[in-house]
Amino acid sequence: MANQAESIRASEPDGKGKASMQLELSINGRADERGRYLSWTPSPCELRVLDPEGATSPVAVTLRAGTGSVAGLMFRDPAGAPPGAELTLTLPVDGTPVAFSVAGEFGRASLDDRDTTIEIVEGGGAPVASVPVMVRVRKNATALTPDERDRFIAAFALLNNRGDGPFRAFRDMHVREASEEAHFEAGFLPWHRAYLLDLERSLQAIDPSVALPYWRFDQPAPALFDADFFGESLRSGMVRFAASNPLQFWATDGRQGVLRTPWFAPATEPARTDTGVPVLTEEETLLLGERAGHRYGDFVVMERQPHGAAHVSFDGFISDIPSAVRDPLFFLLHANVDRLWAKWQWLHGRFDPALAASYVAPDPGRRVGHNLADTMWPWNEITSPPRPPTAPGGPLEGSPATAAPGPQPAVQQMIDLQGRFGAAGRLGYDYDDVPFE
Amino acid sequence: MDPRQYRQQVEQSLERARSAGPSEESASEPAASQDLAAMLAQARDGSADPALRARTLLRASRVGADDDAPITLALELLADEAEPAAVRHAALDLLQLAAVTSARFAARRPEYLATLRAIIETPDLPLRERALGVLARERDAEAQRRLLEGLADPAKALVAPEVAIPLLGYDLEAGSFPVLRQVAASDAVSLPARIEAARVLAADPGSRDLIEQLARDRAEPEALRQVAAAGLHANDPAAARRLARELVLATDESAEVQATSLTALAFPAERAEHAAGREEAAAGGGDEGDEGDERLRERVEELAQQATSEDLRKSARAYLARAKPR
Repeated sequence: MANQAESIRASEPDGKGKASMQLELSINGRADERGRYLSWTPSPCELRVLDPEGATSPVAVTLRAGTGSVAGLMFRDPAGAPPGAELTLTLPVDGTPVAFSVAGEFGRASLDDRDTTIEIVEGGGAPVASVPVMVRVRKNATALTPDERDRFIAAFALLNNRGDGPFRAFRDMHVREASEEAHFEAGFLPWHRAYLLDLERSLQAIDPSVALPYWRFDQPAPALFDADFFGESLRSGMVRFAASNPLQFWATDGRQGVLRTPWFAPATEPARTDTGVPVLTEEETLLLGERAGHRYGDFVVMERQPHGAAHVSFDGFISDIPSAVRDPLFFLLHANVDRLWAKWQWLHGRFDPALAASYVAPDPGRRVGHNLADTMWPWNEITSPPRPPTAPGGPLEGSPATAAPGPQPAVQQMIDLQGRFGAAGRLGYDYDDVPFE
Repeated sequence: MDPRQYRQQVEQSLERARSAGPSEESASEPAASQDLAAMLAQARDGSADPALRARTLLRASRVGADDDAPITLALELLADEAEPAAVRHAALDLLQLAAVTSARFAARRPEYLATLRAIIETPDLPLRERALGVLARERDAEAQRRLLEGLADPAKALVAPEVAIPLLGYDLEAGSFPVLRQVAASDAVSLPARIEAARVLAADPGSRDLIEQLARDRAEPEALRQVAAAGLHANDPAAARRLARELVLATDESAEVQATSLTALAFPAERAEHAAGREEAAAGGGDEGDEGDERLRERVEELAQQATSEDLRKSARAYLARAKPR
């Protein structure tokens, strides 16, 4: 049944031999369950009558979140009316699909797969069908339920597979020889956005209910640096995981374990360096470049602070570029970096790649890979100089929920995260605290 | 929540931040050259308060991000044993931050590593540990030699053995394994050191018997047995599965060791491509060695319900959830 289009039985037989009507709901361009993952950004949907047996006139149905749904849903019609918790559609019996969109209600995300339903009500009667969905967003790691945490850890451990799994390619993408592909230049943020997306989609191929959480490094995070989650640091610098935590088998470069010593007390302090330099707060980060008009070129200095400061708030793997990815915490650190960028974009309207302030102006003197139109290594699989000699991992992982950014994305395809300037460009994820507005 | 209301909340928090004024860290306006020179002079001034010098040095690196002078000064201060600890640690902070954020740093890396090599015997132990940590990540041969020498002869140790061993793990040479086996096997060595030795030895096929012995031996500390059991799953998965079964079936075994064993059985090493889809991933546990093992399954079901250890109950439930359908 998985991955096959599912029709929805609507209108139970009336006992007089009238057969039930079949409907087909497609979400994110798919009629199967693989498309049923939503975020705050509207997902395109279509509803049509498959088999109008017995129906002779257009069918009016109302869509809403089903009773007991954990997440909230917001429906929009293509005519542009404001979104609402319900939407009434009129379905032609000839099978012509009716388009609409659905999104999660900001602030009310799912906690587990299929914990929310789209309920279809015919006329003013009782629900005649319901379709399980998930409103899946990237959350603060300290806000995860134990079940969310454990599913994420399990998927990550499987991806690593004791050092033998597909995670090896991600490790091999972030090495000294490839530093300039992803750092020290404007493309720092788009490259890492693509990198995280690639990894997240690989996790979702294992468990589609998983989203990459973020480490809010300007706040204490006791629940994250815990033996049940990303581990407690021992005097040796190695991290101890609980006996039930599969990350205890985490291995990279042929060695088991994670080496990480914080210079701060994670349970009670935000991140800071050995000599007490704190990471910039979220507000300080969002105000970077304010005097110059909130231009990307003034914002991307956040590579140093808070990003760099967060990395060197530890001793161990994560404190240097070539070894950082050996610590899985890297991805939660960078999810926060990406979240800060997304929030800055939302605050100041910087999603349009054609807007000068959304990125830096093209410069032929800039290293390739950092101009808007440049494709990014390793996904472009270019291994001729000045690119690195190998391109681990191949094309960027696809998603059942969206076609963007494509297998070999350019920098500009990573700007419009929510597809505001071309719905086809939405990347298929959102952060819990960055709305679609 | 209405996004417009949320925007207002965020704008209010930004306004509060504006009112509070920029922190020392966020005041990142580029400095005029004379301002940078003045900062560097203050950071260099041995008569000034060390904490002030440290802050000034770090501020100089922010405002002079496109200038090599802060890096040059940091290297000098780090190398100088006469400098206060606060200043030297700030210098190393500056250099580590530059290493991860500045394209200019690549050209200075050889000097950086040379400076770190020069201070691996500094009386400042935390600084020594940091220096060795960077050098170990760089696979510096001299640092590796000195760390190994310190394990073999504690009188020559630069850092505690439990600190040295993970650093050796960056670049293990075959010659390291005999020393590490001695450490792991010796109850005259500190437990933390034995634990780290056992962890590193997971990568050594020649240490398989020792690791299994440590995992089995109930006289050994629980934490050591756990790490050894986890290591055996990397070293020899088939042997680890057999041992895990034995440990789980035992009725008087350490709960934590049993939990580690069950977690390993629930997440076996998969040699093929990773599972696609939740159902397939859920079926990954209890691989071919466990299929049809009714005795094991019954025992795990019992543990899932009755174990007093929360970790063990959790591991048991994870195993059952991931086990292949009967």
